[in-house]
Amino acid sequence: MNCDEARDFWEQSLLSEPVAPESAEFAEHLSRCNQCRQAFEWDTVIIGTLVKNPDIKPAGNFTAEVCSRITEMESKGGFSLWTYIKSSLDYIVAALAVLIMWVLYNAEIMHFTQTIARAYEEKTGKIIDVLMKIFPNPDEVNELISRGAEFANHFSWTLIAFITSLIIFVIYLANIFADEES
Amino acid sequence: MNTDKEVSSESKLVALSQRGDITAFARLVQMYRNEILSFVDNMVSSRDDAEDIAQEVFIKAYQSIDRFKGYSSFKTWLYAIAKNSAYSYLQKRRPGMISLDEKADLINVISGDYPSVDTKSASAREDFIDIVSESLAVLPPKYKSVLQLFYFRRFKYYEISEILQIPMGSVKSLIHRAIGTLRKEVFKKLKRNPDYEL
Repeated sequence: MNCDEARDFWEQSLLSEPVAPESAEFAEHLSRCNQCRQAFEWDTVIIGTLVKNPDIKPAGNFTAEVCSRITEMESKGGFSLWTYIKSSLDYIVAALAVLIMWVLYNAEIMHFTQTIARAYEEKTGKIIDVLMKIFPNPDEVNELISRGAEFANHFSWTLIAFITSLIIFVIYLANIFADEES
Repeated sequence: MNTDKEVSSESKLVALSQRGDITAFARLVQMYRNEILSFVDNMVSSRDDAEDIAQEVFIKAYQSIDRFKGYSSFKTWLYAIAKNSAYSYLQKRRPGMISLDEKADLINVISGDYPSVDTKSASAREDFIDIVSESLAVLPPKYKSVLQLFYFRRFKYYEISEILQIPMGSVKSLIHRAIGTLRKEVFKKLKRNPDYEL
C-alpha cells in the first residue's frame, strides 16, 4: 500500500464507520510512513472528539415548561378548528363519499344510462332498428333490452363508485403531499 | 440505537399524543430533550437560545403530531423539526449565513503539512481536543449538524437525508466536505498556536 492508497482507504473508512479500520496493509504502511501516521493520528483525535461529544442536560423544569406552554396555547385556542378539521380530513372525505352514494341511491338518478338510451331511441329510433336487424324475433329484442337496462344500471353504479373512489384517492394523496410539504 | 421494545413503547406514546394525551407527550419530551438540546446547541452555539429553540421544537412537534404518519421514525422527524428551527433562528440572526450549498475551501488531506501532535501525552491530547472543539464550533451549521448526526448520533445515511432534507447521495459528500473543513479549521488554529511546530 502506498501513501495515496492508504489515504484513500482511510478516507473511505471515515465515511462508513467512525472507528479505526482494521487492515494489515494499512497498519504496515503507517508503521513505515511518518506523514501518513501523523495524518491518521490527527483524524483519530478529531473523529474521537466528534464521537464523544457530550450531551447537554437542559434545566430541570424543561419538560414541565414545554407542557405548560402547550396547555396554555390550547386554553387560548391556539389549536384552531381548522387544524382539527384538517387533521380529520381522511374521515371527513370518507363520510362525504358515503353521503354522496346514499343521496344518489335515493334520488334514483342511477338510471341515467337508461334515460339517455331511451331519449336516443325516441329521437333516432336507431337502437330498435339495429336490434331488429340482428334478432328478427321481437321477444328476443325485448329480452335483450331488459337485460341491457339491467346492465346499464350496474354500469352506472360502477361508474359512480369508481369516480367517487378516484376523488377520495386524489384528496388522500393531496393530504399526504400537503403533510410532506409542511 | 433504539431497541424494538423502545420503538414499540415510543409508537404507543406517539399514538397517545396524537389523541391529545399530554402526559404521553411529556414522556417523549423526556426521552429526547437532551439529544435535541445538544443538537440545537451545537448548531446555534448559544446555550440560552438553544434551550428556547429546543422547547419550540417540542411545541411544534406536538402541534403537528397528528400529521406524523410514521413514514420515518419519530426521532428522525423530531430532528428534522429541530434542524428547521435552528436554521430559521440562524437565518433571522445572521441572514445569508446559510446557503444551500455551503461552499468551503476544501482540504481533504493536507499532504505532508500535518503539525506534529503528541497524542500519547494526555495533556497534549487534551489541548488538541480543545482545539478540535473550538474548530467545530466555527463550522457552518450544515457541517456541524451532519458531523454530529453521523459520528455522534450514528444516524444512517437515509436518516440524515430525511433530517437535513437533502438527497441521500449528497450525504456522503457533505460528511466528506465537513471533515475536510474541520481539518482546515484545526490546521488554522494550530498555525496560530506557538506550541505546535509546523
